[in-house]
Amino acid sequence: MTPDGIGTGPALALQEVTKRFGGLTAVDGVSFSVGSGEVVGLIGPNGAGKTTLFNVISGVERVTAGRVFFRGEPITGLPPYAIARRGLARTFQIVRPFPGLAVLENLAVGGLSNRVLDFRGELREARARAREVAEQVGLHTWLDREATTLPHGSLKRLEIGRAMMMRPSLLLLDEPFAGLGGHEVEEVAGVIAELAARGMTLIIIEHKLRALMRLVRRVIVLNFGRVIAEGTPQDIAASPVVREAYLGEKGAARLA
Amino acid sequence: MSSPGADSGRKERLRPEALQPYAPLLLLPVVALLGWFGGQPLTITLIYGATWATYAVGYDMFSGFSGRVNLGYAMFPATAAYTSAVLSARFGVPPLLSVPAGVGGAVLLGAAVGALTLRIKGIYFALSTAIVPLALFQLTHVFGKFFGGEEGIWGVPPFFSDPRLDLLVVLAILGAAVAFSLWYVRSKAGLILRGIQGSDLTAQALGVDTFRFLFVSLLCSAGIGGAAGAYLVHFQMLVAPEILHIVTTLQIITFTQVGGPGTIVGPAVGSFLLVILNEYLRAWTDLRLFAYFAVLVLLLRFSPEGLLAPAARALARLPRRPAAGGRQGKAT
Amino acid sequence: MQTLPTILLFGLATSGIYALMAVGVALIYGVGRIINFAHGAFYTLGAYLTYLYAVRFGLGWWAGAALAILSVAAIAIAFDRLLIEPIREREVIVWIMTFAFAFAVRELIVLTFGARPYSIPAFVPGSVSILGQAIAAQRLLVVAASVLALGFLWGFLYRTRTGKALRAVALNRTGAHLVGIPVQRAHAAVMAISAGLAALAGIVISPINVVTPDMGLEPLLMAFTIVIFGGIGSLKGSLLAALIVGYAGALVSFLWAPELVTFMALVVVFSVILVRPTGLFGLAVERA
Repeated sequence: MTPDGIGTGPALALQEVTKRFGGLTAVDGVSFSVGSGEVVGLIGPNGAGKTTLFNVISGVERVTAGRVFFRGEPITGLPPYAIARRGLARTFQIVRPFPGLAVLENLAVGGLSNRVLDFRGELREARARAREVAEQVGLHTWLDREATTLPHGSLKRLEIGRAMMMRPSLLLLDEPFAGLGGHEVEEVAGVIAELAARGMTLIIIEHKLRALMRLVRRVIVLNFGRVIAEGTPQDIAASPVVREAYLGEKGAARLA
Repeated sequence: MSSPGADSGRKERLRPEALQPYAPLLLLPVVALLGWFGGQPLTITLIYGATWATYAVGYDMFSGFSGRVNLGYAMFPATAAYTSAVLSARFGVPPLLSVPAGVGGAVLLGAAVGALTLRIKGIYFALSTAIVPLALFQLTHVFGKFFGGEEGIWGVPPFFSDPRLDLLVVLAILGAAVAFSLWYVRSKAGLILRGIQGSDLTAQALGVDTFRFLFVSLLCSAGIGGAAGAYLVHFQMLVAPEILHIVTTLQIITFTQVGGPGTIVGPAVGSFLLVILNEYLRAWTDLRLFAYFAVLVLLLRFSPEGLLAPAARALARLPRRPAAGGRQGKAT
Repeated sequence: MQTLPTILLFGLATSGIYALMAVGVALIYGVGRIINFAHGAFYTLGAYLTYLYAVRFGLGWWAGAALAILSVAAIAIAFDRLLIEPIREREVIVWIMTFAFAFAVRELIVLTFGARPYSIPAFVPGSVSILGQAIAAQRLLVVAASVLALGFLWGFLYRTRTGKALRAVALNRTGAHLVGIPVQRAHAAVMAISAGLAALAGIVISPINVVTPDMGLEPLLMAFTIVIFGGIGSLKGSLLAALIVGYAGALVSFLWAPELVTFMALVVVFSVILVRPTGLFGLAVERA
């Protein structure tokens, strides 16, 4: 993995990124940059293309057009595992824990190299590091539980923990609060705030706007695959463009 | 209780706990003794038992862990068998060389098939692997003069005249296969294969080059099946195209299923049991096959996790698996 | 036997048989969500049961055939309800189960009838002259039966409520369940229909080919080839693919050798899976 450098350029830069599925344009010429250490929120109505954008950045989907730069280097078209190994990790909206494996093992997977035959006891080291990460996300009491039996809140934290095993410098979080109740949201928000405090660059997709706005300094708003607004949480909350995107023309007019 | 650092790691390796999963290997000398003193029919049955057990181990260490069902597994023992048979019977290559060459042939086929099919998901992978042995079967007939067509290849030179010595060899092959597979699945490769079974995409998001792990695992799987397949040819002194029938792979999958997929030891034991059962049923010539398949249907219906699964897992000390062959845990 | 009309008709008859099998396999996968490796057993049972009813029970060929089709459908329902339903979610085990069932049926047939080939006389004897070529009337019956059966199936699926319910289950099982469609009964129904079609295929072709315990293997393989080629999930794809494969097979058989037909089919399937797994019209849905 590349050493953590003191980069002067942005952590992530998107240039006119476009993704089409047949006739449907899910992401339409999106460009923005995220600086190192920034915590950015990515919001927009359902179907706006947010997760697709994450998929394209992380290599799960190939771009139709445009380029993605991570710490100054092009990563467009690289396979997901290569991008993850460079320090760009992501979580999924629907967590798929590895069944039949304990929480510890689920975490340990992220700490392994791609060398197939293991004569150096990598697994042992990965498990040790997994224990540390489990502490950080608050799962240290669940280590031996089969991951599929975890309650929803813990699953979300497992997902973040798994991504953290990649030692990322940039973490894409896809709806980390989805399906969580008030208390659980606080717990996960705490984990995320910790990561931000330690200087990790974060981009967070969320619908729970109150919880999100407390974490982020900047918000990007997507609709129909395009960036329609960018600014501080206050700017976005007040923006009529954004209101219209969420509520539609009539709904926004009713509120005005 | 593990702690980080290479030193304590080294200490752990020497502790008896680390060797416990390999305890089932102690059964092999017992089988050897049974075969040595039990009379020729038993010896021969055990040779087949050990051969099928090796096939099952080879199958399980890939499909049982990654969840990618290789419906064409028979292609590996078959290719090794034909390679060794052709080299030794037609070209006079000494068996000591033709058997490893056979294994090499199986591994090469594994590489080719893996390169083509491993990126395909779901049932298409199973279907495309199922096709390969069928196509190879056709080839043995199309190039009948070389591969012997319907009859196969006869006159393959044996290693020994005493089957008891063959039994020792196949048991050694089985032992090596089990030992390697147990080590492999308990190492990071096994963990990653299980992860891939859970979600290939998530594994990739965690930095795993899933294709590479699947590919190397498939090569190992091919080599194991190939070793047993190539050796058997020199015991039977012939190879016939029946080995390429879908039934062969089905048998292997069945033995694996009965023994408990994802346990390595279970499939091996399951194979011995079912091969012996098959022999025992030979007395009822007419009903035998029907009884065999009927028993199988009932086993699958009422014991889908595998008869021996809990015991086998305890023996091999592998963590609990999810429902074998199921879609559970794959989509939410 | 070399001229074009013969090839055209042979191809049509072959396509008809393949279509009957393929459509059944496609339906069982689409609605029942399982890959049914026992489909060849239904085909074989159709022929043997017809012989049993017609000759051993003395019912005559037409009645025997009708009763055989109904019997096979009933067996299929029992198979689905008793053996498949409890393990339907466990894909791999279902595969093994259908295989094991197919072989159990095969062995039962061997026990009952022996392994020797049987001959069944043509339902419609004699030959008909088409464009100067003498064509066995039975082959025309094959074509007619296939076209009629497929036509009825199409009408059933697209024009009746039950048919539409079945298609709903294929499209979205949960949704269908939620609107009150009895999904389990849909599975059994589709199994019965598909098995009936397979039995019909086995019956009408058996005067032309001999009746042996393994007669179902090749049609089974071709059925899978066709379903994959046409696209899993597309009935229209299966029909078109059946025509293409049927004719290609007839051509290969005439121009080179009958043995190569199977090999050709395998090469086709393998290539399709590698290049375009969704086949001609298949849904681009990842079932992984």
